[in-house]
Amino acid sequence: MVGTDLRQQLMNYIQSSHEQGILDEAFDRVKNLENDGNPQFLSEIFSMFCHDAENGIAELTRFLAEPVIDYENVSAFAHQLKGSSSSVGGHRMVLACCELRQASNNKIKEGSFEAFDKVKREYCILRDSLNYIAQMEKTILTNEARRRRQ
Amino acid sequence: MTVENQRAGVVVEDMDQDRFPAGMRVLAVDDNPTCLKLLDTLLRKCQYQVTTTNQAVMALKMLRENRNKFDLVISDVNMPDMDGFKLLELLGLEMDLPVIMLSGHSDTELVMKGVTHGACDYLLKPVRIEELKNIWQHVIRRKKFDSKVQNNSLNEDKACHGAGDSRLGVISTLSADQDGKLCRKRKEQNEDEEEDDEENEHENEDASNQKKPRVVWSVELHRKFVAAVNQLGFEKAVPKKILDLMNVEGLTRENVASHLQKYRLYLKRINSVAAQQASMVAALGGADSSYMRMGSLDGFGEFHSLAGSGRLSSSALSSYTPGEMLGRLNSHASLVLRGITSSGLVQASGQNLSSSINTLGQIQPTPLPSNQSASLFQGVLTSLELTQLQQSKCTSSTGDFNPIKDSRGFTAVSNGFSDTRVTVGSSTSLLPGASSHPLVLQGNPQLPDDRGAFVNQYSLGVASLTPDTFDIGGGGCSNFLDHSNNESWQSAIQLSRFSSNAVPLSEPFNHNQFPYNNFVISSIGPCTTNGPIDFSSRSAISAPLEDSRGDAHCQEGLMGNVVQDMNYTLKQRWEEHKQDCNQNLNHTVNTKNSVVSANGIISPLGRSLDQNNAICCKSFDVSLISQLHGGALSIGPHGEVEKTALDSKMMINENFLLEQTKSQDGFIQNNYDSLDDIVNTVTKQEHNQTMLSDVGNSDLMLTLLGLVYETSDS
Repeated sequence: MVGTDLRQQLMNYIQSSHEQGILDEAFDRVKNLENDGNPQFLSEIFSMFCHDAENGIAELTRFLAEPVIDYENVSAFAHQLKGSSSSVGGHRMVLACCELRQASNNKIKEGSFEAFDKVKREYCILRDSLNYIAQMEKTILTNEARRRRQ
Repeated sequence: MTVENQRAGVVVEDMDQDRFPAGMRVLAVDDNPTCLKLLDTLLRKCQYQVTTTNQAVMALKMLRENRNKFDLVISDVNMPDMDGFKLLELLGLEMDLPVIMLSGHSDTELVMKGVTHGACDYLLKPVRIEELKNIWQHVIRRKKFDSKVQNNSLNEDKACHGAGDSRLGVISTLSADQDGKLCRKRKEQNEDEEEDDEENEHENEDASNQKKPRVVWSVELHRKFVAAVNQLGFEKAVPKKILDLMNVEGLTRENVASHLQKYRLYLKRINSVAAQQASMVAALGGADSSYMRMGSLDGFGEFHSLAGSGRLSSSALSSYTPGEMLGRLNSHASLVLRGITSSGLVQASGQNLSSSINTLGQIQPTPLPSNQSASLFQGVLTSLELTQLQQSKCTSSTGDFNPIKDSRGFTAVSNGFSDTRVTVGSSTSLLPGASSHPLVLQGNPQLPDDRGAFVNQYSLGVASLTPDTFDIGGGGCSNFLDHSNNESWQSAIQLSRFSSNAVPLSEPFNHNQFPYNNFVISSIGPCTTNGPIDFSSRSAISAPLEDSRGDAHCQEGLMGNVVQDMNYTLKQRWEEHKQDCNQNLNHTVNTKNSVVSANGIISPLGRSLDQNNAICCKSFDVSLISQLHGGALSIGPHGEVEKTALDSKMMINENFLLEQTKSQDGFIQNNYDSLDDIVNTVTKQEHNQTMLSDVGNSDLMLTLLGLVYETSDS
């Protein structure tokens, strides 16, 4: 059955994401919230997250590009990113943000740049992951709705 | 529950009793939109009614509009527009709402900070729904506590019928054993109030049919309260009599009882804290004189010029423990502010401060000793202006701080003291909240030229330091009441929370790593027995200021004012560095004829605006100990007490940083010795008013005392 297949596929995907550390249990909790029947829920959350994250990353890029780095702001934004990524369950990204925060608290320039690169990478991975999941979920729900109507 | 409600005939105004905890109204504050949305979703899943905002300022606004609209607040710790802890304090102070902190950090220190600021709980992100399902207990717990306090009755039935508190119905149905415990606690009160029971019933019956909005304990109200308590004598102060004395319309015995309870707890806490802290006897000697420099008016160029004598007395900021009033110090704490010669009574009234106000650093909330009466400070007027300042009486000040900086708002006092105000009776003008930040407190100390009694308004700007350093918005809150004569000025100190961005400091003030002392010296009111005033100062030292200790120098008032004996212990606590410096200055100030200028030097934050500024500030918590009555004024570490010339303006400013003033010329006088002398004359403390009237033209200056408030809940 297509529906089941899709579900199964999604579950497998999520499972493997867990294994890779991309997602953690926080993600599961978020996913469970969608039970209210809003198929858009996950998409909304994820796009909100992506929006925030991209803003955060842009700010960080800006701060880190300055000749004299304002580490406090870097740290603050890293913290913000950490908060939002932990809310959606982006485990690896959380770790990367922690590293960035650590480096900027200690005002280590090299370390900050490295950590920031990592954050960006992890964000891309996470974003793709979330998008995929959201899309799948939406498809599944739509299919189910269609099937119910039939 | 329903049955109880019916029996009680209570009107449930703000909570849906039947469905509780469902329908509980939660206000969620978080600047991170993703987190906020998730929180919102989770809360809705728990069937709460959720309102969200991503701005702390907006949250405050909503809450101030209608306190009864929400049952619980959940707030993030790191927010750009206001430090979560500050919001916490304010909420606890003003609104007596349970507040839950939320953070991505799990540092023990932060959690501790949350707790000391009065948070009911501290959750970590990402939030789990299981945790949220239980948060309603905080609402119940608090209401129960309140109702018990209000009830003041051993009889649970009475509680039910009660206090006219609509929420009582719920509470009465809960934990009967807790009731018992609480009741036992209140036995002492109850015995006194046996005769009041009838009336209680009567009142209750009347009240129970009415909706009872939360009472806001404004500075004025608190002052009256403390005056009443003082008058009655702390031991004998029962809500009924207090209520009668206060003679405030619309205030019920329950409100008074509740407030009294908190007040007592606060005092107890201060007492115990004082006991724990090492007393620094030779505080002054060892104290770094630079610390409590009043005259650190480097930044105040104009200031220099203003005061003829060039002396500046710094005002001490007191941190208020929420819900507790520092008490009126009947003795005239001589906080000498420049040019302030009036004796005033400083009375810090605090609403429920969730945490003491932290001017710069962290002020450890210390509760006032339970039997401490309000302490009135004379001479020091701090007017803290909040955006929502209640009416402040400002007379045009002769002195003009304006040149210095109108916007020298001091964000003093954090939380919740928004309702407390220091109004200077005479010739004080409040500087308009120069700072754009709503929570800037400004005092405009102005001294009439020839007035003995001055209310010095000083603007106390305490910038909020980095969230980390800021423990408690410590502002000096003092209410200064000058009862001495018709020059008596009433100062209500309105403490506002600091906002981290808010304080516009003049250039010179922006010093990094300012150590500052918030030092509040409060003189205990006449009713109090001799007792030490505890000032605990906490300095949040971002930059290590090992030696930044304020020197408290008490100097006999030049004006010859009499300062009441104050005995207080000034405690400093350096939170960041975990240094606890407790310095006790014991001074007995003779209130009769000398002006004791105690310089509570409060150097509020050096740098207020930046969160991450390393500011060392020392905030002194002034806790009045019940025995303060007529006690010697022990000025804790380092208050420099200076006599302020009449025309000097008292300005409490961050720039008062004593550190800075270290190099001030002639600003600071260490007349500690003389103060000792003064202090050693103990005068019996009469009623504030009487005393003050004696003072007459005494130029008692009271520097701002930081009053520490601490929530009884924290």
